[in-house]
Amino acid sequence: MNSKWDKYRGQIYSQKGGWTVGKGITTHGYNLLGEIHGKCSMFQVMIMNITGILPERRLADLVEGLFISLSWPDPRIWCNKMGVFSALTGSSITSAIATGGLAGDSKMYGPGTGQSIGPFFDLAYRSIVENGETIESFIEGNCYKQGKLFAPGFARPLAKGDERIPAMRKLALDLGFESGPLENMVNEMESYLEKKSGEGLNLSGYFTAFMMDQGYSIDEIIGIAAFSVTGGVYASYFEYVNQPPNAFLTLRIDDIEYVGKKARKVPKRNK
Amino acid sequence: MKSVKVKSRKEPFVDKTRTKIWQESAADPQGYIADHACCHGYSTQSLLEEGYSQTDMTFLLLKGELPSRQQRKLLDALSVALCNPGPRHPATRAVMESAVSKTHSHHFLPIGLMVLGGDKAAGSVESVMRYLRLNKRKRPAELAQQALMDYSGPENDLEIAPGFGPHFEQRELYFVHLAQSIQSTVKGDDLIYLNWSLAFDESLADSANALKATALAAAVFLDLGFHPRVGPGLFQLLSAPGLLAHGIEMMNQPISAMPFVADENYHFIDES
Repeated sequence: MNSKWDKYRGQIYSQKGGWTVGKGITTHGYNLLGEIHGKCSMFQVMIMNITGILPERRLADLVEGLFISLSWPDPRIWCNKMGVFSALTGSSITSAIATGGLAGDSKMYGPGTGQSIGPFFDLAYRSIVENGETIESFIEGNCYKQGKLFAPGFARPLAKGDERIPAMRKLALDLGFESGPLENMVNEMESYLEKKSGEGLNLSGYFTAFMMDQGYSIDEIIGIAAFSVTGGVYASYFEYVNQPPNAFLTLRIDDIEYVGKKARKVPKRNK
Repeated sequence: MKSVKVKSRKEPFVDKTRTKIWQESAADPQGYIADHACCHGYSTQSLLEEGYSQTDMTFLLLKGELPSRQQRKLLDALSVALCNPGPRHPATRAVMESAVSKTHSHHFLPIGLMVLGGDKAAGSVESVMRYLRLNKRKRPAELAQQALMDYSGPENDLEIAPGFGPHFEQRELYFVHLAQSIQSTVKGDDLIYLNWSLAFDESLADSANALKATALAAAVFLDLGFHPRVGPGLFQLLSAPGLLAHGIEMMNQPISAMPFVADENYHFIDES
């Protein structure tokens, strides 16, 4: 008896493109080496591979700006530490980048936060822009849990305020982008929160709003930003790759505080 | 252009990392060299000499106490049930493809476990555990009946409830049989979640849905007293041996040892 799944046995169906041996590589209707290579940026190709549509060069340049904003060579940042630890154990750089990317797939910071920012911005947009709720009413009604600010896209660990956003806003302006309705809304939300508690938009919040205004879905935006933290991971890896194995924040045994059970006798094992 | 003032939160970070799990004893005056370690208070050397097993150590590390005989038997049984996602599972296929294409053997497990971590696989175990916890006082037959009434159908293997669903849009009994084997070999009144899950599965018998690996694991983890957030990682850990073995089997094979789709079977679809 035939199954509907049989059509996939030994067969691939691709809307994206592929390689035909001896003929060439097509990607989304383009000849990769004839029409794309040397004419488009890597970020244009990456975005096309995610969305299926080749974006304008200026949009790809803005995305590159996001990656640059996150390329801090500071090994205190959690994803960058993955680069350091990978270097200390002699892991390959590829492994380090994969590890750093995974650490950045976080609910607290980095591209992983897009999972909560997207639905939150959708809700805010429907409430404020489409249904006319005031910024104050929306924030007071939706952005606090047990008295603490819980507004995806706003606030960040370690500091209040985000110096990367003015840089991104300037880049967007230089590239000829105007702010769209969602970005305008989050800017107003930011103004309210800044006055109230000194908290502002974070980089993921800015980028998500900008890209949603450009018509990208949240899954596409998360995909585009997925490996945006890797610049710092590279730097941290290569700073430590030739260092002695214990040369990063060296720990003596008593630098770990044991707070568990006292030494106890091992019982006979029940067979 | 609006400027931004950036101020440190000055959060009170700890001076030292704390752990309840592991205590090393220093053997040198500088305090860097260890000659002894305890796991939740038990000397690792003594644990080894007393014949404790990997299952015992996994339980001890995660729960802080050694397992009872019943708990060990249950976790051992689940370890057998989950030991290999099998060569048709995407996680295993990822390992096999990377092995045959000659990545390093130390990448096999990270590759397989990353793929296995998806929220249609190990990543879902936490939500399955929460579902079972939420519903354990409800009658499984009644809950199943309601779920069947609300269910839109098995297309794309849509789960009727977290951990219970079709495979290839049909009812697959492989993990039901394994769950029944665990139930009959381990026995005991404290298999609350496993018993509940099998009763729920039985009520789905006329549909395309069945208990899946994630529900089996979730039920056993709960019966062992694990928190839902432990679930995904423990599921990955127990599935790791099979992933590794399939990689090892393929690593010395030529790339021709796995199918490579010929151009005539590669179909370009116009997306416009």
